[in-house]
Amino acid sequence: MGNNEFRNDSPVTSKNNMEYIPDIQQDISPHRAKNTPPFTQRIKKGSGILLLASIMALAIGMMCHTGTSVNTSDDAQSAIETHVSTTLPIGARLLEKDDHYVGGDMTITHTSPEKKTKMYIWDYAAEDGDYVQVYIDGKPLGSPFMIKNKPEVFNVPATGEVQVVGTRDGGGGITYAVRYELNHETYFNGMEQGGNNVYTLVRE
Amino acid sequence: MSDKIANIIAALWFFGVLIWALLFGVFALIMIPFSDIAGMINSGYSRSTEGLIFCFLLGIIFSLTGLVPVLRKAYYKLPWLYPFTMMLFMDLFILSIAEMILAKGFAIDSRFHHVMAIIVMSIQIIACRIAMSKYLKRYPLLIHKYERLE
Repeated sequence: MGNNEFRNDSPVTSKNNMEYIPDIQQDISPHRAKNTPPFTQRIKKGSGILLLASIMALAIGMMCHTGTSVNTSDDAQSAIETHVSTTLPIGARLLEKDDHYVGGDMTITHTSPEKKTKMYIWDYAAEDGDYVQVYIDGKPLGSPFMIKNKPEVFNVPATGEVQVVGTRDGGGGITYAVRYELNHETYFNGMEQGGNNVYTLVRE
Repeated sequence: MSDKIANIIAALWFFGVLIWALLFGVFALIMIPFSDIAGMINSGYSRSTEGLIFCFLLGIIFSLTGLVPVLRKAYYKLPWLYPFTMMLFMDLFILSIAEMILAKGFAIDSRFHHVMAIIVMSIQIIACRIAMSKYLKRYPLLIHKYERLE
């Protein structure tokens, strides 16, 4: 594919005015690989570059991919029934598709002495474009954002009201999970667009 | 006899895999800007992106076609095919990155993030297209002027 492959041979016009392509043997210089036409060399080189680019595309795609596979363990089956789990890992995906589940508000009683705690929030079903916004005691914590299988982390006060508002339903209801570091419990909740769930954090 | 077998394999690869990959690539090339990117800009919401996975699959098929001598026959038989596949891949790669940038930006529902995502995406597309043009000017994919097909 290099410049050295270009020759000044101009195409010759044959009797029927069709463009004539110079004989390949004339085009092979002594410095080239044995009997390998330049077109073949160029295809090989181009294909090698293409292979590297494909692997690069895969690597970038994998790095940016946030989707996870559905957890089919007994704990996950149990969590689908109870909508609560203490054993499933952060970011666990329970369902292939959203199931129109509408949950409710929760009161979380804990004994953590910390002033702040981490809150993880993620989509436990399909990454279908559900958007939520988090409010702390009535004040928004940033803009609405798309929930994905990969959790988003927020620092929230250990006592007070955390409200999760569903701003957009990508289809099948807004399904999301929240986990608070202070009690290591995951709540698999849900709502319709415009709905909200309030988590009241109370220290004992 | 071995030539016949090689031709059969080449034909099977072309009609069974390569032509579908090409059609799929062209379809993706139309859908990414007119459905995915335009859809995100119109709705204001992000969506999942698969462009880079398509790039990977098509890139593997096209590179196998070029690297395996038997499969390479398609490139000799159809002189336009090699430049076409290369440019299709380049365009698809550029658009897939653009789609990914937009999806990242639109994952947060705020005007600032939306505007920034559109600006960054536009710069990326323009910069990549300029780089592609410069590359193709230096290393043209034309073959008929100086090479003979086998």
